[in-house]
Amino acid sequence: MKPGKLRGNRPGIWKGFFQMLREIRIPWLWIALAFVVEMGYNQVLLHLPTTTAEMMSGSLENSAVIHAVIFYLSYGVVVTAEMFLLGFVCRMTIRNAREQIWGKMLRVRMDYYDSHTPTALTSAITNDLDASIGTLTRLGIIVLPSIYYLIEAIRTIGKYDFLLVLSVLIPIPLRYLYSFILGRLNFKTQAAIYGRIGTLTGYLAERVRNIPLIKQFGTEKQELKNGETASNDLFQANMNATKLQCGATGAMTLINVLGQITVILFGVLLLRSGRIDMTQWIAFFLFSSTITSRIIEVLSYWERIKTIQGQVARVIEILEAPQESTAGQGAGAASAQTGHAAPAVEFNHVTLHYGNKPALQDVSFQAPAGQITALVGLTGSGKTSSLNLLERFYEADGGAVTLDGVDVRDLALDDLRSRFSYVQQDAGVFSGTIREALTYGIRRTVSDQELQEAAQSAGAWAFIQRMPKGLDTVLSANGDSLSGGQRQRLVIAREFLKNADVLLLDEPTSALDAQTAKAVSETIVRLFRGKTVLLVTHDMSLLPGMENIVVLSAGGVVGNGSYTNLMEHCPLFAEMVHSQQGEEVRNACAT
Amino acid sequence: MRNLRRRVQQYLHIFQGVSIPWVMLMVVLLLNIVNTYLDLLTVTLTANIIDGSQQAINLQQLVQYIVVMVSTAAMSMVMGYTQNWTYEKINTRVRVKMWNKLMRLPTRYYDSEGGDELVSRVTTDCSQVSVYFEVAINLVTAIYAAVAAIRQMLDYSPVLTKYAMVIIFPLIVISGVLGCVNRIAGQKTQATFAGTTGFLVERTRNLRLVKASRTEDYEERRGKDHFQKQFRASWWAVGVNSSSVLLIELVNVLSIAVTFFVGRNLVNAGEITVAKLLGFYTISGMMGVRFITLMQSYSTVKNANGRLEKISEVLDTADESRDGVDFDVFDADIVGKDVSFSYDGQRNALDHVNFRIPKGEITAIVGSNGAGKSTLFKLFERMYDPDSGAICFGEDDVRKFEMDSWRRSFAIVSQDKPLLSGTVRENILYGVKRKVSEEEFIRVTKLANVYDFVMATPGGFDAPVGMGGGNFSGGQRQCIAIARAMMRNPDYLLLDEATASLDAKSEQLVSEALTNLMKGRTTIMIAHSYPATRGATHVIVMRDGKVEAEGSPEEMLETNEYYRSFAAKAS
Repeated sequence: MKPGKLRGNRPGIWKGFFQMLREIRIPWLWIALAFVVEMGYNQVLLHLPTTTAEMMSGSLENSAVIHAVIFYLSYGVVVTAEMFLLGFVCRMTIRNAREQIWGKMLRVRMDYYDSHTPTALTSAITNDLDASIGTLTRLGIIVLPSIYYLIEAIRTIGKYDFLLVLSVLIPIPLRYLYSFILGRLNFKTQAAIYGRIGTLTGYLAERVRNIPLIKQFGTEKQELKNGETASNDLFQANMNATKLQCGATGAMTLINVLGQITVILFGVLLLRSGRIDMTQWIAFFLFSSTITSRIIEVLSYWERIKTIQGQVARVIEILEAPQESTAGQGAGAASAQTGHAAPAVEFNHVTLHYGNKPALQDVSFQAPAGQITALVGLTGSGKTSSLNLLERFYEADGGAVTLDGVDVRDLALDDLRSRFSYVQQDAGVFSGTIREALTYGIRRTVSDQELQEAAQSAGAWAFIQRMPKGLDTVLSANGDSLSGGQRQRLVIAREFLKNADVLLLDEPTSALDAQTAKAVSETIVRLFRGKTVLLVTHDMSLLPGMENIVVLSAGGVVGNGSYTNLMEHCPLFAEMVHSQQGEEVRNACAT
Repeated sequence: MRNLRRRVQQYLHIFQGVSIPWVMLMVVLLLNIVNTYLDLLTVTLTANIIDGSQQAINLQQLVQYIVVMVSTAAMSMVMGYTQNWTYEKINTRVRVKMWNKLMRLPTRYYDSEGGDELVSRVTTDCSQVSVYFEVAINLVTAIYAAVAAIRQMLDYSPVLTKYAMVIIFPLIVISGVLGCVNRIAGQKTQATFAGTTGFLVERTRNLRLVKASRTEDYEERRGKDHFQKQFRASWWAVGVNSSSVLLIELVNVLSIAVTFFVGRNLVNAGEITVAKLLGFYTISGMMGVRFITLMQSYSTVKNANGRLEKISEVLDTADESRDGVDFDVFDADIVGKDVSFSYDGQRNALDHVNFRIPKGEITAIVGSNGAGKSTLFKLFERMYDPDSGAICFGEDDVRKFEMDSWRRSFAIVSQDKPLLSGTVRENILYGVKRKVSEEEFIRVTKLANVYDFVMATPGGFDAPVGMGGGNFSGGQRQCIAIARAMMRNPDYLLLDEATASLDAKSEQLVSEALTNLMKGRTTIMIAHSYPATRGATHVIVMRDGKVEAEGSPEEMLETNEYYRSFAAKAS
């Protein structure tokens, strides 16, 4: 997704961040509770070094040790509570955000989906939210208590001796420089390395998927060598990542050692000169390591926010994506005026753009009520776009699409869509039981009897019966466990049950072989008699005898009329019919 | 116990024939031990420095401290690198072995396993095999650490050590339990994550269906259920994390209590210095943490076991047989003699089938979906062997011929037109072992209708086709596939609905190229429409895995009802 880059600039992130806060249901009460516990945790943490120091410096009276044990016990409890609550609240916020975004995504306008891949959208909900909202919630809870701890800790050692504070602060610039350089380096190198790992994995994946092809071409030896090279490259890439990582850890440890040595030098010198006592020295020693790492942590929060910027931007983008407008007149509006159930459809000088690309230009035609109208044309001529306009997946830039004379944009979205049955080119069935697939989107309860009848008329009952659990057989993702023909029949049965007034068919048989295709088209014609049907097809053999055919080319209507009429007067139509028949002729001459 | 033996055998099998970098493993082990040694040394040194009983600062001690600290830092770098190098090397070698095996597996194997599954077998699963070496090395190091730590502790104070031991044993048990719970938590998180992702991908891919069905509210609720499940599962992870912390803190408290209650008397009696007491306290704490992390590696091994099992399952599958005499084409027909074949061992995809493919002619195979047409193609290519009966070339069972030379005589052009990422040229020359002159290349690409559209593409024949050929349209991909088939100059041509799901214009382009390809070759085609069969001189009609009729098109039109209706539908 590109838009992350668009919002990469700094001012955008805060504006977007507050926008996100407004949009997402934040569990404020829980966050407040977590904040309180976090404060308590830091308060306890402040006493940790002093208590330990007292013990270590040799005050071994009974009461001191008991005090220490009690303190440590309560410390353990507070730490656990803090960790649990923090984890819990973050995940709760993430869950709430997921719900919110998913709700938005379901209602976003279709054109938004064209520019985004499903995996990218999914990972916006799964991974991006974990990173963005999770991190933000965590930071929101811990930033203030962390700063509080720092101030208090520095004040405590400052009370021992001012020089001690200095010794803690000296290594900080070095540390900061380190994380700055590493951040720069890391970002570039890491991106390069992971890009490489991705490519290599992709390469291996592609070959594995195409093993039959490799067998056909007898290229096993060649591919073996390629695979070996890819594996070795992968190894190299991994080693480069390791180098970077080891270098980083090494440098970090060195800086730590340096810091510790500074602390020890200062401390011991002060101890020898008698400016601090033993307990203070040990307490300071223990404080020093936590203070430096805390300072670095607080400084790194800013960096962290920057790294999640991209994810936040993606989340915000979805939140801001244009929603479908659902308002409009009620269902009856269109048919009430004409009186019949199956409405007439009319395109009136319709223009549509996808981005800057024109899809339909000044398209006008009529689909009479209760009859079949076929839309034909080459790929990209605007057939599917026309159906999209009817369903209002998109809205026309100019002109109007009407249902019995009422502009589809004036109808309530839910009511409008309830009037269509839509059979897509690649019939969609979701995973779940066959019963669920058949009743998907149907709001009334459907009896088994009715299900069986619908399945029977669509020619689906025979294979459903053969399934191990009949209607309750579970289908795998996207209905992959069914053949194309079976899937298509299920969809037809579903749309039949839906019993809508207008049937939209987008190449309903293109995934099927000739025999099945014929049977399916016959079923469709039989089942949906009396409905207004719009049929998009490549198969010219379905058309002879048809009265209403619209020929589209490059987004415009170039022919409109009956089959015989078009054969005579529309050259493109005649050419399409002939070229499909031509294949037979050429094949005949092949020998 | 038997389970364990099976595991070990599996394990050995995976590394059979893989050269293990033993020397490097030894080095890694050594580095780990040195590192542990340095850790322990640091403890003593730190304790000495902090110790208040030595008021005089000792310069030598400080230098020693600096040296040890710096070398620890350097060591951890060297160790990290060497360790990763060694483990990655092992993974890579197993990966190559796996890859090798995948090339030789019989086709049947690829049916039962989904494509994605096999991909992750090579990529993800193979990156886990070194876990065992890792854990083994950690275990040895931990034992060394335990021994060294106990010796050190005994050196400080035998009495204290006894008490410390009492603490450590229950600790081991508790951390073992936590390891198990951690594993469960991991599985739950994984499962719910996969469930949510699956649900979301399916919906976002098909949002039109959701919108057209007006099920936005319903899907929103179902999404909520998934998110809630994920949330619930995360409690486990949160719980385990925080109880680990609690455990570590408890150990700490116990250590303090024991060390200082008992130690106090020892210090008072002058048996131990405060410095040593501090050192003792630190070491006992370190030991505890070490044990907890070691126990957590149990769950790593458990997870790796599953992956390993899958890898060894692949390695255990028998190879495709490749022996036989060289196939040198002479004029004979391909004859199927009572061939039966089943994919799953239950339903016969081909049921006692007899047929003849005349040499030098065009044979069309017709029949509805699932009649066994594509299966027949796969048997021709010897992607599978018949369960009974035989496919013969003349009088010889085709299994007699050496696999490579047999497959070289076939080219298939199918509906799914697979291309491999790379340039157009690489795809067209895929599998061609001879040198191809530029003139021949241009001639072939022109015949396949590829030349014109490729030259119009920026980069020409060196333009990448993209993943799965995504840079070109369906028709163009098919033409490239045809050029590829032409380059191989096969004797047999298999056409599997090669022009299906193309629009009229592309169909024309592809059919022209196909006509050129078919010249002078024995062609067997699966025809989806009657017009496509018109050039055929021989027709085989299939139904439900059986050959219903066979003969010339004219005969079939007269005698076979299915063929008649097939023909009638086209007119």
